[in-house]
Amino acid sequence: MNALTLPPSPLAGPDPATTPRDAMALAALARDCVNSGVERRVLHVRLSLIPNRLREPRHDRLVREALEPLLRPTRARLYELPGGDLVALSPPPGDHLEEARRGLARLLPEIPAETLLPVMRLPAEAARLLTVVEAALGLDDPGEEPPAPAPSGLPPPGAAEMDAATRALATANLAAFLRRQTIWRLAPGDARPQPLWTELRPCLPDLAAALLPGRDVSAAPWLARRFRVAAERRMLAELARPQEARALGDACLPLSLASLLETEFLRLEALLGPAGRGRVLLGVPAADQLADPAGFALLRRLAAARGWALALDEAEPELLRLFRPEALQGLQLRLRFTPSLLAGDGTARTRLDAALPAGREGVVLTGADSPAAIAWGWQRGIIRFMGRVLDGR
Amino acid sequence: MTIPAPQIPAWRNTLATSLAALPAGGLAILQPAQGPRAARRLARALLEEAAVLGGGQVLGLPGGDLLLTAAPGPAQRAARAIADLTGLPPDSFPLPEAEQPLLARAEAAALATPTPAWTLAALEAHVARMPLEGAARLTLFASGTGSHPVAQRLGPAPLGLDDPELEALAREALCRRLLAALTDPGMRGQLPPLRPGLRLILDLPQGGLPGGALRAGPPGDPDGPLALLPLAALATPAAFAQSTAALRAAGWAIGLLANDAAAPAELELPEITWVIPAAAAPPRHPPARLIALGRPVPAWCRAPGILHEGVA
Repeated sequence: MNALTLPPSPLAGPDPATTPRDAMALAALARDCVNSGVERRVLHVRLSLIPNRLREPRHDRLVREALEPLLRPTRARLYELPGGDLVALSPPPGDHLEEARRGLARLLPEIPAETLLPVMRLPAEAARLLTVVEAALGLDDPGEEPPAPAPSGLPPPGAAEMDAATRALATANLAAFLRRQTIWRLAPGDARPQPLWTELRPCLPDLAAALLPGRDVSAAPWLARRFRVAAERRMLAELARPQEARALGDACLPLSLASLLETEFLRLEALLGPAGRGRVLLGVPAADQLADPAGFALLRRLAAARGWALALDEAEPELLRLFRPEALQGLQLRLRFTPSLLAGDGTARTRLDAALPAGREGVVLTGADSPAAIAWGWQRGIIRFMGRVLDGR
Repeated sequence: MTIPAPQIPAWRNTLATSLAALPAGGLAILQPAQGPRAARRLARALLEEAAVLGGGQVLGLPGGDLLLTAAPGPAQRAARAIADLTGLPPDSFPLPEAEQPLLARAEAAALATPTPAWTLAALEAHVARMPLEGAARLTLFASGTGSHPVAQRLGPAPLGLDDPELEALAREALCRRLLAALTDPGMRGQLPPLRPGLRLILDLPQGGLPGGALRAGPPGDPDGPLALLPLAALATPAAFAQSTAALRAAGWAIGLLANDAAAPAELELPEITWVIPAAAAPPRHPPARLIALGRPVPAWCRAPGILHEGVA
């Protein structure tokens, strides 16, 4: 908890990876005050309201000085919210909060103090504080769903063109088309995220643009799938060389079921040996499991016998709900965070939570591009994340 | 002009060399080219691993069968792993005792014909050219302990392709052709004639019925005509909900087609009729409505409420 330190530059903006932790701690504390009846005074310093023209280094120093009265742990606790606001809590009467408030108000006379520096009382105004926290986390507003990729207007490739592209892929050098992204472990109490795996995958849109210019390979799902398998098999062929395989390390390979049952993968799986296999997480799209349940059952037996960790990937929550709990046993889950997860009423959320497997430590939340994703995950016991909010630090 | 001398196939020479190189007490494992392609590939990978560990080699016979000769430990482990993973145990030949039976077996297996690999373009052309009479298949079903037909399935003839993805693609294309013929009085005669009075089970492409729905009867009858979709349609829940709602409104009950008899044990779909291969053992959570495909019909399928192909 950020009780003693102030960000080096309060106006420079928050640390996206740690602020959800502060926010969640603050929300927990507000609830504790309600339960126990303990009184606290709260000062909300809305630094996010400061207009850009006032965001200069010299203001940083002045804001720090004004906050000085709060920076002793016996006096107050300070929390940093996503979006840049600070929240200070102190036992009543809260003289130090008042002092800091007066100092800040003098610095920024343009903005009325009631707006810039609201004061709240706990437990009476806990609901108001929780609203502030939820808004800062982005949990109150589903926000804009990232726009679905607009149809390109390009024609899909014909069968002969697809055949030619898959032939070209079989010998292409994919080095420039591989993408890596870290999967982190970040629990509510952690000071910093710990890397767990590096996800490795071919960048399909770039590859398609290079091999099938003027054609839209995503126009039909089966075309996209076929192209994906060809690209993955090429990547696996490159990985299945002794030197590459040794260097693979802790990796997450999201692969189509068809690629996992091909010669290239089986060569890699033999090359890695038991120790190497134990460091890799395989992800299989849920759609592939449905299209070929017999093949998936075979892969599951292989994973169990040979020491692979296996995750169900790209499952929509609505689909997840249909699986019997025992069908997901021993499987990890890669779930994509979308703002739509925040939408819906309590019933919808309860249904979704019930669909998540009981063992939340086996869930990776991908697409964690905002603090809201981290907060949403933490509320459900999820502590593994992949996304820009952690990479951009 | 020279007449080429008759040649001993290369695999015979290689087999002779590898048998000669193997110390006594070695083991030969013959893996027949059986089961789905993925299982065969998996078997090959395990045999090749055993060859590396057991100082031996894997020989591909012309018909697709595989022959491992290696030290007994790794060879036995590979054979056991293959049996556990694929459910199909390979044959073992202890050497040198069983060398003669092994050679005879290899010789017989060598006559099998390999399955051709399809390109997308070739498959597309093949499926478009197939005469409707051959592309459509009518299968009759009996119910429970009975053996007189109560239902008929009109669907695409399976091509028996090795690749599940290509088979699914061919199914989609053939389903669309069937549907077009069914709604066109001029072409309907090319389809196998439907029997009056039998419940209809109709294979549909993944997206359900395109555009104007084909009316089946009054909505809400779970034993009404059955629209059969591939299980993969579930992967897009919103689209699935939409297409099945349209089908139900037009009087269809919904069936899902899976290639694995264990699939109903994984998903909970109370309003769905499962259509699965008739496996030796019943599924772990027997669904309320079940249609078992294939013959012979195992005894557990002859139970009330289960449709099967055991038609006399």
